[in-house]
Formats: sequence, structure tokens, C-alpha cells
Amino acid sequence: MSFGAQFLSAPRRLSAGRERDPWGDASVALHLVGGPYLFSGLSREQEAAVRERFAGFCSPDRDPARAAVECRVSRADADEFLAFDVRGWEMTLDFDRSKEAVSVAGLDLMARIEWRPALSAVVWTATRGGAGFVGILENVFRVLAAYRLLEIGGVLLHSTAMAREGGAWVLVGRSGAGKSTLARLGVAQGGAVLSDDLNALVPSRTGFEVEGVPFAGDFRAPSSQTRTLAGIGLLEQGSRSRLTPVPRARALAGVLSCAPYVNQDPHRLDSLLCNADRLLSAAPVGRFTFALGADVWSCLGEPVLA
Amino acid sequence: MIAPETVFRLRSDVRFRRLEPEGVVVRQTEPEVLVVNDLAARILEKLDGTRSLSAIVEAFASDYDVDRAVLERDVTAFVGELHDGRIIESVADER
Repeated sequence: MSFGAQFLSAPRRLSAGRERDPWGDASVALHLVGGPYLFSGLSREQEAAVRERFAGFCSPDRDPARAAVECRVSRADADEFLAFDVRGWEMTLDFDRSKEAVSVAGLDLMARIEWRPALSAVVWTATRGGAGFVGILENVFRVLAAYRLLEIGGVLLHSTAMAREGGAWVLVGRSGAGKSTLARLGVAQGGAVLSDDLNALVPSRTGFEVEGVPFAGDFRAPSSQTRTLAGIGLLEQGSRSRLTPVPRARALAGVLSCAPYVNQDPHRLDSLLCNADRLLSAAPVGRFTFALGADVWSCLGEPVLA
Repeated sequence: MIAPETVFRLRSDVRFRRLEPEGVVVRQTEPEVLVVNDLAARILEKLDGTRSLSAIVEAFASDYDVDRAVLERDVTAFVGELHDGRIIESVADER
């Protein structure tokens, strides 16, 4: 199936019409790791919906010159998107990746991410506002954040990040690995969760820092919260709670398989490998299994890792 | 049957990292991340687009105390699997 065929009536028409009208002159700047991210070209209705959804991340500074990444929203016609029955449909995005750009198609959206002159994006949609519009923007924002983190030496990981005292542990695992269950357990035992779905890891002067991002998950980051990275655990099914050493190659494989969007981009794989290598050198890494009712914090505190 | 003079290299959509004692192979088209053992990682390291299969067998023959015919059979079989799995390609194929 060619790019966008599931979602777009004429994929080439949308990408060719890049200079279309914006929805309006409103904008929102979001202060998130790798940002600020400026979303411009919004109508007042769209702006209000985005502000409500990302309330804890809104920044008063909306100067495009100070934005690290700009995402412009443009109008598209409703008949440019294919209507289909979404009952039982699991949200997916379609990608077309090249050295210069990444095109994204999804339900009522198409976007193009470019690196020149700086990382930026254009989103085309026919959705006027409300929750539907926020969902569209969020779908693009997740992808954009993953590429931005890659650009600054970091990585976005499917994970639960939690902390009790001091630094945060990042427990990496794909859907069904137990991220949300573990997060609930960690909170019940006196800890705090940054996010139980996606967390950003970025290099700092002393190693790496963790920041929860406000996308999916039961525990969404309400605002920008940064912690020093204490360690990384690869979540696996197990009958008892423990943290055990894991060979470096398996740790790298675990991290790569949980780095959404960018891990399927052949043009940026070397950057991902480089960032993941650096991440694994900066913190202890182990295999983490947990049992319901066990004290997860005492396991994470065990000095079993080099 | 793979000819002994065949020279292989990783395909352009595959990346390999040696992290002793193992190695990681990333296949983008699948997509898939594989962890390979030490011996497989050593063979992959040598599939660099310059050495023939017979040269690789020769290098291993000097490192391991094993029957040369057995070594040749095993290395050739593994390289064949890598080729069939679209992890490596023959340099000649690309010309």
C-alpha cells in the first residue's frame, strides 16, 4: 500500500500544497524537553483546546525566534481525508521517511517534518477544534518530540519513570509489559510517577535526565518535571521482584525496541544507536521483574548493578 | 552453495554493534533487533566488504582448534543464513 493510502484521498495533493492558509493567527508555545515547541496558525478555538489539554506546559513566550521547534497548522479540505469506520480500530500512523523529511499520515491529518533550515513541521487538517483537533496535534507532537530528542542526543522511550528519593528509574517495556501496573504499585508505596507511557531521556552535564511527557498513559505528566536518571530497567514478566544484571547487547536491544518512531527510520538509525550507546554508559542497566505486592523500591535500590 | 571467494557486507538497512560478549543486529525493514552470540558477532565483524568467505574461514582456523572442514561448513552455513535473512549481501550482487 502506498504512503497515506489508508487515510488520504490524494496524498500528493496535500504534500504539494504546502503554502496553504493557516487556520488563524493564534499560537501556543509549549515548554517541554527539547523545546519550546511553538504551534502556530491556530484558530482561537484550536488555541483554546490546546491550552486546555497542555495547561501545565504553556509558556507565555510565543516569539518564533525563541522556539526550538515550530509546527505550523494549515487548513485542508474535508474531502482530502478518507472517512472510515473507526470502531475497533487501533490508532496507527503511516510514515514516509527520507533523508530530508518525514511525512506522516493519520486519521484526519497529514504532516511533514523537515530538518532544514531547522527542525520544523507542517500539519494539514480539516478539523476545526475540540478534542478531535487536540488528538491530531498530539499525534504529530509525539513524533516531533521523538525526532527533536534524537537531535539533541536523547531518546524518547516507551517506559514508566518513577522516583521516590533522588533520581528516577526508567523501566522500559512495550505495550503489555506492565508499565502502568508497576506505576500504580510504585505510587502506592510512596513514589512519584513522571509518566507510565513515554519518557524523554536527555544528556546533561552529569549524565542523563528524565522528563515525563504529557501524552498517553494513566499517569500523564501534568507539567514539566525533570529528574536525574538513576537507572534503567528492562521490564520482563517474572514471578518475583528483582533487578538482575543484563548484558550490554541485550540492554541496547531493549532500548532500541522501545524508541518509537525513530527506530524505524533508516536515515537516522546511526544517531539513535549513538544516543542509546551513550545512555547505557551513563546509568546502571538491569532486567527488572516484579510481583504484585512486592516492595518495588527496595528492589530498585539493590546494589546489584555495576 | 556459496563460492569461497564471495565477499559479503552488511546491507545498507542493517546496523551491527559489537558489545562484548555479544552483538546487536538492527534490521530496519522488518523491523527487528537481534542479539547474537560471541561467535556470530565475530563472523559479522569480518563481513566488512573486503574479506572473502575463505579468508574469514582462514582467520578462524588460526584462532580455533577445530577441524578445518567442519569450520568451513559451519561458517558457510551461518553466512548463508545471514544472506537468506537479508542481513548481508554479496558485494558482487550490488555491482
